[in-house]
Amino acid sequence: MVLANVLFYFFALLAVGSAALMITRKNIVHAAVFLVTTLLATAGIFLQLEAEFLFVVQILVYAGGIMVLFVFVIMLVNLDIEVRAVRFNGQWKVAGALAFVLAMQVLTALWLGRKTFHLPAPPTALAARNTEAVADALFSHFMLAFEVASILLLVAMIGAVVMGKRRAE
Amino acid sequence: MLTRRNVIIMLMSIELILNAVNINLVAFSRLYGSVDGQVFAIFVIADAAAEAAVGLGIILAFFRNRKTIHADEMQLLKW
Amino acid sequence: MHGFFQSVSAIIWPVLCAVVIVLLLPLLAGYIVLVERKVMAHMQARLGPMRVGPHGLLQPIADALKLVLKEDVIPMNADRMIFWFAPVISVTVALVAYSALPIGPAFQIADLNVGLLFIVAVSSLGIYGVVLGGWSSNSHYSLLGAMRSAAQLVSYEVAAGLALVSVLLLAGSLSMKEIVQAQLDQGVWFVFYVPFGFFIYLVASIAETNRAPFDLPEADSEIVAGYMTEYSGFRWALYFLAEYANVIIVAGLATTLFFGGWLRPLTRYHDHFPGTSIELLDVVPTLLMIALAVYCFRLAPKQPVRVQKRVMAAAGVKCLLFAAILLAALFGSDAVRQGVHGAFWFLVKVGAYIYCFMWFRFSFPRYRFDQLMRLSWQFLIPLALVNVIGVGVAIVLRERLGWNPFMSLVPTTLATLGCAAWLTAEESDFSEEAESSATVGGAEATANRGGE
Repeated sequence: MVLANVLFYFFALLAVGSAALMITRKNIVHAAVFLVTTLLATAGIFLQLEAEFLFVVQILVYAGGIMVLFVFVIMLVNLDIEVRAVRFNGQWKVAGALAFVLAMQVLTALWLGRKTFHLPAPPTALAARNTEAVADALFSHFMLAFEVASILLLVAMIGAVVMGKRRAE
Repeated sequence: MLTRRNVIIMLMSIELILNAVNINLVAFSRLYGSVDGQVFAIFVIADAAAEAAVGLGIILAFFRNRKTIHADEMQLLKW
Repeated sequence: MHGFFQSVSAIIWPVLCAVVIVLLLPLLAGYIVLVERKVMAHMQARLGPMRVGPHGLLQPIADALKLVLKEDVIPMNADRMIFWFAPVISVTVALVAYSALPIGPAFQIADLNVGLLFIVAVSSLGIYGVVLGGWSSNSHYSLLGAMRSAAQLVSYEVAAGLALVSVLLLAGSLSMKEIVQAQLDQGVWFVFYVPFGFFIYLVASIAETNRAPFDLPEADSEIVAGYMTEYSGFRWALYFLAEYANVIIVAGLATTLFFGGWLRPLTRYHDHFPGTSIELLDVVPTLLMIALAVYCFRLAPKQPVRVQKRVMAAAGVKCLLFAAILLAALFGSDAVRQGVHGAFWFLVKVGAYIYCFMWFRFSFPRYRFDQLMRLSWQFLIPLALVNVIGVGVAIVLRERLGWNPFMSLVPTTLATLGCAAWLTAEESDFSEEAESSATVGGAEATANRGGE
C-alpha cells in the first residue's frame, strides 16, 4: 500500500510538473519532450488504476505515434525563428482572467462536495483480464462507435496524406 | 494555450487537455467497476490521433505556402 | 508494517533480475560485437581481431576503455540538453523492454498481462532517441539520417506488430508466459503454424534494429553515421549499447513467440531413463556442452602461442562446468530443472537468431531508401494483413468446424503465398516503369544542361 501511494504521487507530480514545464518553454522541441513525459506519467497512472490495456495503448499510440508525428513536423518546419522571437503576451490578461474564473469554479465545486471525498472502496469485481473485458465491451456494446472510429481514422489518414503531398508545380 | 501564437504549441496543448479527460474517464471507470470509461478513453485517443494528423498536415501545407507558423500572421481570409 | 514488508519481499527477486540484466548487458553487448566481427571475418576468409588478448577476447574491454576515455565533443550551436538526453532515451527504452522478457520460466522481472504489447510499445519509444539525437546535433547529415531512420522504424514497426498479432490470435493471450504455455499445450512451436508471420517478423525486426541490409540511415559509406555522426566517446557507446540491446530484445521476442521460448525441442517426447524420472531428451544440453568442451580441448594443443593454448583449455573447462551445472539441475526440484534448462534453451535459440542476423548482414547488399519504404508499405503490410485474416479464418475453422490444426492453416498459407506472388509481380512491373522513367528523365535533364 505504501509503495502504491508513493508511486501514485511520483506519477502525479511528474505529470503535473511536465505539463507546467511544457507550456512555459520557448523552445518547441523542449515542449514536445515535456509533453512526452507527461503522457508517459499518465500511462503510469493508468497502470495504477488497473487499466493495463489503456496503459500500453497510451504508450504505443499517444507517446509513440502522435508525439513522433509532432516531433517530425517540428523538425520539418524548422523553427529556430521562434526561439529568438519575442514572446507575444498581448492576450495574457484575458487568459489570466479565464483561468482564474475556471479555478474558482473548480475550487467551489470541490468545497461544496467535500463530504463525498470519502468514496467507498472500489468494487474488486473488475475483470481479472482487463484486455478481454475491454475487447468484449468494444465489440458488443460499442460496435457502432468502433466502426465509426475506424472510418474516422481512415478519413484522417487520407486527409493527412493529401495535405502533406508536395503539389507538383 | 491562448497566449502562444505558435500553432504547433496550440495543438500540443489540445493533446494535453484530451489527456486530462482520459485520466478522469479511467479513474471513474475504476470507481464504478465497469470498463465503459476505458473504452471511451480509447475512442478519445483515436480521435486525438486523427485530429493531430490532419492538423499537422494543414500546418505543413500552410507553412510551405506562407513560411510562418504564427497564428496572428495567418490572416489570409481577412481583407 | 506487515504490508510494507510483504511488498518489499515481493519485489526482491524482480529487483535482483533487473540488477543482473543491467550489469550484464553492456558486457554482453560488447562480446556480441566481438562475435560479430569474428563471424564477419571468418565469412570473409580472414581472422578478425586477434591482437588484444588471446583470439581478441579482450577487444571489447579495450574498446570500452577507449570510448570512456575519449574527449567529449559537443557541436557548436547544438541544443545541449537534448544532445545529452537523446542517447539516454535510447538506452533507457532498450533496457525497460527487458522487464517483460522471460529468459526461462523463472527469470522474468514482471509477467505483465499485456507483456507482448508492452515490449512493442516501449520499443516504439526508441524513435525519440534517434530523432532527437539527429536534430540536436545541428548538422545536415544527422538530421537527414535521423528522419530516414525514424521513417524506417515507424514503417516496419507496423509490419512487425501485425505479424505478432497472428501469433497472438493463436495463443489467445498477450502475456509472454501464457504464449509459451500455449505452445506447450498445442505441442507445436508457432513458427510451424504461421511461417509467413515468422518471415514478416524476421524482416521487420532486422529493419527495426537498423541492421543490414536495412542500415542505410547509419551506414558509413552512405551518410557517415546518420544520426550518430556528431556523437563520440561515451555517448556513442550508449547508442551502440542501445542498438545491440534492441537486437537481443527482438531476438528474445521472436524466440518466445515463434520458437517456443524456453521449451525444449520435441516437448511431447516424454521417454524416461529406466527407473528414474529424468527424461531422455533432457540430457541433450549436457551432451552438447560436453561436445563443445571436447572440441576446445582438441583445439588447444594446436594453438601457436602458449597463452592461446591456456585460454582454449580454460574455455573447455568452462564448458565442462556448464555441463556439470546442467546435469546437477536434472536432479534438483522441478522448478530448478525447468529454470536452468529453460534458460539454456532460450539462450541457444536467441543465439541462433542473432547468428542469422549477422549472416544476413554479411550476405545481402543494402536496400536503397525508397526500396526500403516500398518493401514495408507495399509488400510486408498487405502480406501481414492477409496473414492475420487468414489466421482468424483458421481459428474459426478449427474451433467451429473441428478441423485439424495443421489443416486449418493450409488456406491461410495458400492465401498469403498467393498475395505475396501477386504483390511481387505487380511490384516488379511498377519498379521497372519507375526506373525507366527515372533514367529517361535523368538523361533528358543532363542533355538539357549539356545543351545550355
